Amino acid sequence: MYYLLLPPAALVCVVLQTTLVDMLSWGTVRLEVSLVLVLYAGFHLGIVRAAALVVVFGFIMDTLTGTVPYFYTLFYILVFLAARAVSFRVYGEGALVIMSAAFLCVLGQAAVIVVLSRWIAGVPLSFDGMEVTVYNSVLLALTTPLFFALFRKIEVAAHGKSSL
Amino acid sequence: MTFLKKHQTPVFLFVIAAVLATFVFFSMPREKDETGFLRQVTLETASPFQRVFAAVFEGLRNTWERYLFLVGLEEENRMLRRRVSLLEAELSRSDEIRIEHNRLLSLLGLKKEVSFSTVTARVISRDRTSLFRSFVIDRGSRHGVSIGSPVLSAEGAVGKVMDVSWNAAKVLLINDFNCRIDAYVRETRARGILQGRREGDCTLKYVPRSESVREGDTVVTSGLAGGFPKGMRLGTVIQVARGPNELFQNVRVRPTANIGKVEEVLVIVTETRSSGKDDLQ
Repeated sequence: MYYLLLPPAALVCVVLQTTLVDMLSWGTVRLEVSLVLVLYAGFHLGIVRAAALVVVFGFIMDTLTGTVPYFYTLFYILVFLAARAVSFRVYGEGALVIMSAAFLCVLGQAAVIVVLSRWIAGVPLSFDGMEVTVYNSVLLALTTPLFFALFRKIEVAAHGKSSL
Repeated sequence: MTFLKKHQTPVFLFVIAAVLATFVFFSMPREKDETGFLRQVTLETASPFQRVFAAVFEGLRNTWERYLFLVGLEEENRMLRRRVSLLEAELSRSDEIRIEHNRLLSLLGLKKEVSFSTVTARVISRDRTSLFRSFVIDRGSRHGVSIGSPVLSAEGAVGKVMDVSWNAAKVLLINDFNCRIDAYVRETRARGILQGRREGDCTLKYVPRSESVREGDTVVTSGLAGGFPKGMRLGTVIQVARGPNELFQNVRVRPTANIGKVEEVLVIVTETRSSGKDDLQ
């Protein structure tokens, strides 16, 4: 059931994320909820379920918004693997841990784009507009605990128990 | 089961790689200039949701703007803005035709007319703060849109189609770093490749140092590659820098079209070339 519902649910989630947030904030705020979900999967979900979720979300993000083939898919897999590795060593439910992880992921994503645009597309290296990225990463970091709580509630509602 | 427990990490990595490979396989185009089937299905499935959200929020915004504030003035202002944009586009086109006309007077024997067939499309989804610059429109292959089709607004070029499904298409905007368009500076005919930057503007690359380019000059499409008609406005030069030991100038260009706010666009679907009746016989 989970695997049947995952693609349409992911599609709606990504559409909401890209369309709704943009329209409500007039293009000033970026809340990449799918990235938080990937972190949640890395910290809490079972391996196969989490892997499926990560690949589906990455693929849909690539199809609807990405311009570099498979960028989101690969980036989400990297984030997921990193979160998985970290979750073996630290308590993945601590607010500080998940906030730091979200903050670093958004900054890391921007850094990868800068590197890609410089070394692959040959665009001059520039850090103009990085303050917007920092602002958005802080915003996502601050809201991550709320999203984690929401995902946990959804998980409990769907399965009757949390993976915690 | 023992094997699985013992080699959990490699098995896990293998499963991820296999799933990813399957996705890549099914989303890869079977032919050049074709969007993969899985991507088409995703784009197609998402478009109704995007349409609904776009319509609802557009409706709410219009209600707010039209009925609560400046009922008549807002509509008139909108109409006049549209008209100014159209006239600017017409003026730009006329300038280009005049320059070309003077330059090609000696070739009067060549009767060449290029006309384009276009479809109007609405932007149904965009993410202005995304690291990538793209949006989705509500026209697809059923309406003649194909990969590479140029997308224009009244102010100038906006981008080109990069993925297309049956009733929707994803547009790569000119200010995305993946977008490259052959262009030249209208005033001096200096040639270059216009490429997007992360900051939202563009850069005109490979303009030799010897070429004269000034701030305020207009950059237009060359018509040589990418399917864009010749002379479409791309942007205005906002900064020119010449390094002491560099072969090329660093030319920054601000797109003419207000890409972040464009709501309707024109997509060029076919180009019809006719060289007079004599050529047909």
